[in-house]
Amino acid sequence: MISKRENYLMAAQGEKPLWVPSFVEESNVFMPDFWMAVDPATGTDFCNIRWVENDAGRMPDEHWRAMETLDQWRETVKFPKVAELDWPEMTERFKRMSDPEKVNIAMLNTNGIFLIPIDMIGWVDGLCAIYEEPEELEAFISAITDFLVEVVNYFGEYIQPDIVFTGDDLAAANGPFVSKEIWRSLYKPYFKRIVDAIHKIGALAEFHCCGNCQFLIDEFLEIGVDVCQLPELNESLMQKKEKYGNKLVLTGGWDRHSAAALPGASEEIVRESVHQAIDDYGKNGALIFWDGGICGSSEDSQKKMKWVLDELNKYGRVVYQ
Amino acid sequence: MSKIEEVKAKVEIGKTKLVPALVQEALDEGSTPAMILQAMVDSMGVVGDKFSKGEIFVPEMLIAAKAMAKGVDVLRPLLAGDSETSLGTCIIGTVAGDLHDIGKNLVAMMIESAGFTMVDLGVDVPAEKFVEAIKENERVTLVACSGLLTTTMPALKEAVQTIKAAYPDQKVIVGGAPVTPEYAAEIGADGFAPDAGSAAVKAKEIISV
Repeated sequence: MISKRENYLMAAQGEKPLWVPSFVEESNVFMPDFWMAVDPATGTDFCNIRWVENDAGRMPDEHWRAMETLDQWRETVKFPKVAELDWPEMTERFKRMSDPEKVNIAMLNTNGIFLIPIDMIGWVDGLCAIYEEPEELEAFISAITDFLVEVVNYFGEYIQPDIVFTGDDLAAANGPFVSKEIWRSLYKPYFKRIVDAIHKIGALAEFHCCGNCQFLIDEFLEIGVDVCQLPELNESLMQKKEKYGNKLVLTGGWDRHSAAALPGASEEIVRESVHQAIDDYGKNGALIFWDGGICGSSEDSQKKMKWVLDELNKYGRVVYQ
Repeated sequence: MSKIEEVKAKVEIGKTKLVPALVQEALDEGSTPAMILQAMVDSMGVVGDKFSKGEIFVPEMLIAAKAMAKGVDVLRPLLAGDSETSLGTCIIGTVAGDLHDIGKNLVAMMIESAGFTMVDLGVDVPAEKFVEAIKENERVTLVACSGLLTTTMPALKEAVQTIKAAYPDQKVIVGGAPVTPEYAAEIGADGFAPDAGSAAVKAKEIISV
């Protein structure tokens, strides 16, 4: 019998594992402390972003602006000094909490070169900067990339993860925020640097985007992304899956806009949604199941998560036998 | 090309630095503030249409809206008190339990560009707050409720039904990733728009302009 880690990595490498692995249940997740650390006086993080949180997650406070103008990023952002972080202590804590049977995922970031400038000055000014202050924006993107690459190197030295997870919401539910031309000229070279750094430490690169950025899948694969966490399912994703087969490894598969996602969905519908996810996106492997979209602590969400996991443990265990 | 045509063209491609001067030149040329405003509204209609068709993306739409806003700044003192140029007030917000603001902000910009006066209640807005805002503001012709999470769809329903209970004739549109035209109709909304560009079109259609 193989371990959960080995099974997970088979799927992550585009193979057909023995069972459908679960992103939530079969991974140990490490995240460096600095992402959640806030200044007690202002309640802001190292980018001077103030966050608001509710049951469904956290978002930048729309009433708070981290800086007035983009050119103030140099004095506003206090990148943590990566070499001075207590890596041995963080590593020890992670190892203590980890299950050696599971795969090790290091979370590099959930907002990055695309989202951080926007989180700091808002969507309007953040996106207008692409046209209004392209040089300043690129200088900031470059500095964020340098920081993230340095963090990846420390992951390699201390955590030695199987997978490094990097997230940036380049798209909304109904489509990408930027054109392919902007992606290629402004963002792609920096994403590639991050992916290259991840490969250099011997880990697989997983990229997350909440929205529909299916039109960039070709580009993600080109820069070497190994696993795409794309919870926004649609016909376009299905077509890409058909085109690439197991070269396109997905974390997700569960349709967060289906009848199963609606509040009050029946147990039968929710259980069926797990079959649908696996049959549609993982019938030959290369799928790590994730029910991205069931969030919050409501009774409805809790029930759904229980049914989904239970069905994953039943159907997901036999589907490849 | 006349100055007013130049204003129209430059708004469409988001030339924020050029538009204010061009608006002033169009005024000097004899165009009325209302004519210039209408030209910019028409430009934004084109921009919204291109966005809906996927020909342009969010940054291109935003810089166009920003360029128009710069032009409106020049016109504002001349338009003050001219209620005929406004389509009324639109109250907008993301419903209770939902912190997402991008969709709501884009829709707000496009509806404003169509000629409405916007009152943005922000995110995580309880149903009653929409009702209070209708009461507190003058000439509210439209309420726009946004929700991104499937889990907050009941809050969207509650918002629409609370507004309709207090103001049965109040026009309400809804939008957001999980919302479908069928769901919008089911919860009693007057309209639905799949994106910011079509939200502006729908807003005008609903209030019968």
